[in-house]
Amino acid sequence: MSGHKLHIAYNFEGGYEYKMLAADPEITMDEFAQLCADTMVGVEVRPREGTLRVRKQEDKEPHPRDMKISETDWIDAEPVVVYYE
Amino acid sequence: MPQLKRSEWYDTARNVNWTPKYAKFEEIFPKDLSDAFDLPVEEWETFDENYKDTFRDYVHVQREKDAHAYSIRAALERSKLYDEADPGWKNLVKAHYGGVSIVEMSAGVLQGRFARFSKSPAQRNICVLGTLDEIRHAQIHLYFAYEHIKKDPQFDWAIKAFHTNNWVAISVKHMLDDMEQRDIIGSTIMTNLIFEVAFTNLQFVGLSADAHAAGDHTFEHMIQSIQTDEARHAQICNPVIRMAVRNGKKDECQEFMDIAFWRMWRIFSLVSGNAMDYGTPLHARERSFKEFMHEWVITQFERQLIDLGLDRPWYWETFLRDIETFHHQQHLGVWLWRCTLWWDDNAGVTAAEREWLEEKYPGWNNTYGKLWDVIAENIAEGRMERTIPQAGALICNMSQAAISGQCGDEWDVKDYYLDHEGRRYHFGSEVDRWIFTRDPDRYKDYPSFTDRELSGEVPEGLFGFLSFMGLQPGYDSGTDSRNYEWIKDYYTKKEAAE
Repeated sequence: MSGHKLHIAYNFEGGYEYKMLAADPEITMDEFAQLCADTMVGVEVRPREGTLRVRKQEDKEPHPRDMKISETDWIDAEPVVVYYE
Repeated sequence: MPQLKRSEWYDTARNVNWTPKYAKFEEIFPKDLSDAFDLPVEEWETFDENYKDTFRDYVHVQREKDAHAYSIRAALERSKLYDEADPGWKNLVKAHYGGVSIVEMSAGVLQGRFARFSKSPAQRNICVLGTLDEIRHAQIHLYFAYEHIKKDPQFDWAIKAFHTNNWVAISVKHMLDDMEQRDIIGSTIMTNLIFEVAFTNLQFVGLSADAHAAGDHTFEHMIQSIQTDEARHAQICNPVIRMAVRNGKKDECQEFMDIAFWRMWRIFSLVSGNAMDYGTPLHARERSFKEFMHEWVITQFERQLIDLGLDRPWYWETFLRDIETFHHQQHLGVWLWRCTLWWDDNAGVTAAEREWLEEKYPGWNNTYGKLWDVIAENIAEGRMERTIPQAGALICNMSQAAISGQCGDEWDVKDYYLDHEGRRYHFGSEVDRWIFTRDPDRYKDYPSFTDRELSGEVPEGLFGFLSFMGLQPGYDSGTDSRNYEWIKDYYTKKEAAE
């Protein structure tokens, strides 16, 4: 784990607002999606079946599940969408 | 000595101008403060307000208004009306006092600027009375609010709110600074036309009716006492706009109007939409927030715009959709972040209230209702730690409110961001982003709450977060207004049986 964390704005499927969290750039998309789910599932949305995917807000395709945040072009407070596939 | 009749001296006294000898005209009336369009002073001297008043008559009427409102307060002071009032209503009143008292004082400063810097002597004259109006409004709010402070420290926020970094106060201050820190024409359009004509009617007429229905006659008469003043000096905008439009400045006036209408709408929706559709007791609701908007803002305000030679804002369709949605989204966030408020927020989602919400806003159950179901389950199961958000919200760089959208089955949350001079700005709507692009230098350096969190200005952890906003848990930090007792009435009998 590196010391520096990146702030990311995420929009979780079914939620009502963009939220912010700080993430280690060395985690993968699956790990990031799980971090987001921990703040949302059972708090604001119900658990559901499916694989969580992550994409930049303006992209149509998600990032590969094993891609690390440090391998993306995200900047501080990058808005991303976390959704079920 | 016989007194002159008012009609014999009024027009001379109200419209006296003179040619300065010891200072230049442009030094007395600097362009940035007085008239960014630099219209001829002869045009300004055509200012003719519809409602005319003299200082003598003004003092006489205001004294009677104050005597009426304060005597009702005194008569009811020893009654148990407040103690027995609905918790939702009590907290709506607390939110109102904190959100409005110092705004009235700020409006007094603005009216004072009009009285000093308008190139029209008649506007300067009438705005002296406007200044006195707003000072009286601030005073009566603070006096009435402090009646309750011995019972509830949250009433201290009537004066405290705008001296803190509370997110609601930051949001309102950002909007007010934008509207009030302009030249006379810009500020007149943004405040007298938009703030007072378009929205204060809704706020004060609607709240007064709700107060009456809720049995809070002190608050009802205080609001009525203020509303009659607002109706009078709201009309200050008409001659100013007509003058500017006549001199070829329609597009500029339209832009002032478009900016202010959206800015005011978003804050108003957040505060008053929640108060009317969730805070007011069900039996006391005269109409839904949407119905009030259609009657008081859309129908009446649109008529006035046409009369003034202006058009609907370019984003009218977006606005109509927002009336149906925005305050419901924000209410979820306001209740979940209840610890950041100076009042105890009312969930307003019992089975009967949900039925009313579904009737007024078809689809409520499949959108906001889905999130409330999860929250309700957590309360019912005692998982209170899960009724507080586990992550902060992304805040709009214009409205300073959370960037929200439809949830549940109609999920469509979007960040309308913009990269400017190497920095990313976040916006809750295309209109907020458009406002920023009209004058980026005006807005670019104001830090949103998110910016303050990212820069480390806001201490980490919930207690640091609340302390930054001036709140103390267990003292004045907000909670649920009904102590979560509403959960007993959340489910319909049929649902409970299942």
